[in-house]
Amino acid sequence: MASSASERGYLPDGARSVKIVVLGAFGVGKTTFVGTVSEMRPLRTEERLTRAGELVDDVAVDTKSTTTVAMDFGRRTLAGGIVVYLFGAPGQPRFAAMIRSLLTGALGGLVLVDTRHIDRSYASIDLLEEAGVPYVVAVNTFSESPGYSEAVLRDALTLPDDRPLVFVDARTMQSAKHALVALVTDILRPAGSHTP
Amino acid sequence: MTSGAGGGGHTRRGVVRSHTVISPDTDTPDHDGTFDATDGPAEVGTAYHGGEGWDGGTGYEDTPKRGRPRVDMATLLSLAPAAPAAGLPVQARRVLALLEPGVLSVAEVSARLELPGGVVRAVAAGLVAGGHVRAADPFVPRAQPHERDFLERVLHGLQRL
Repeated sequence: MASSASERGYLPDGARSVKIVVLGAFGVGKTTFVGTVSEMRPLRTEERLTRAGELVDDVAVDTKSTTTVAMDFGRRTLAGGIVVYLFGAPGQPRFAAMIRSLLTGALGGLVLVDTRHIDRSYASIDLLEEAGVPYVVAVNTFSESPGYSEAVLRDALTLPDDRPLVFVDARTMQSAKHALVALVTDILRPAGSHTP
Repeated sequence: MTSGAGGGGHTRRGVVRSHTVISPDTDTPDHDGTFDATDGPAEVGTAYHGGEGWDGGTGYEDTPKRGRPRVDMATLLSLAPAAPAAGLPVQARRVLALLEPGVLSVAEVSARLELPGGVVRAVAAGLVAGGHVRAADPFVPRAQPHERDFLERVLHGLQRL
């Protein structure tokens, strides 16, 4: 009954996973991006933080001392039994410990940026830099967002020259794919061609 | 609170580091394979013993219990046919039942059983240590030449989407 197991979302024996973490502020399109790439309806998992938090963004306060952070995730199976897992997580500094844990074992990261709120992506980039995880900045092109040149955006983000910056429409597969291809292409660059 | 490119007084911390790929940390492999109550009050033990599933400690805790493997959200889990499930705590038996038809990631187990990710990682670590479940960690390159082949397969797979 292998086919019915796969219809229910089970993976075949011998599948190999890779993890890509999509970071960014609330409302920047993380869930949209994950949903666009995912072969299944994105699922939600949660992590509990036992530190009091404010009622903001992706956070709902459970009790006085427990905060729940929701992460949407999806997956895409590639040829050869390779399964790409995409985790969308809020990049706010207060979740740093959780994000650091999520970044452990990640192939790379994708920072989604909305040009209306560029400063809200600083924390995500800092967390990726700190973890030493390769990442790509993906500027989500909302129709009402101001358009800036790559040079202006790089300057505003203090983005190192060797970090790729791409423009994406998180709603379309070809565009989301372009961002993921840019990430893996960057990871494949020979060691040495990364400027220090 | 709108600040466009170049606007606002905020800056990134701006410390640029070179990219060193972090490998998943694995604890010393001194698995005893048992789930006895003397295992102590750490997150893994508490969650595994199935009580409230969370110990209410301070801050986010993801330190794997000594002697148990670190399990990632993207770790793929499958049943190891040998070990009997009798006597396992209820959450562990729920995980085993869910894995009966095939392979799932820790994240999918968490979502399907509606258990927090930390709880499932802890339960899964116990099941791996006890020989009930096989775990395949997500691929992370460690700059070894043969790993380029795998990364190129990922790249070509993405390009064909």
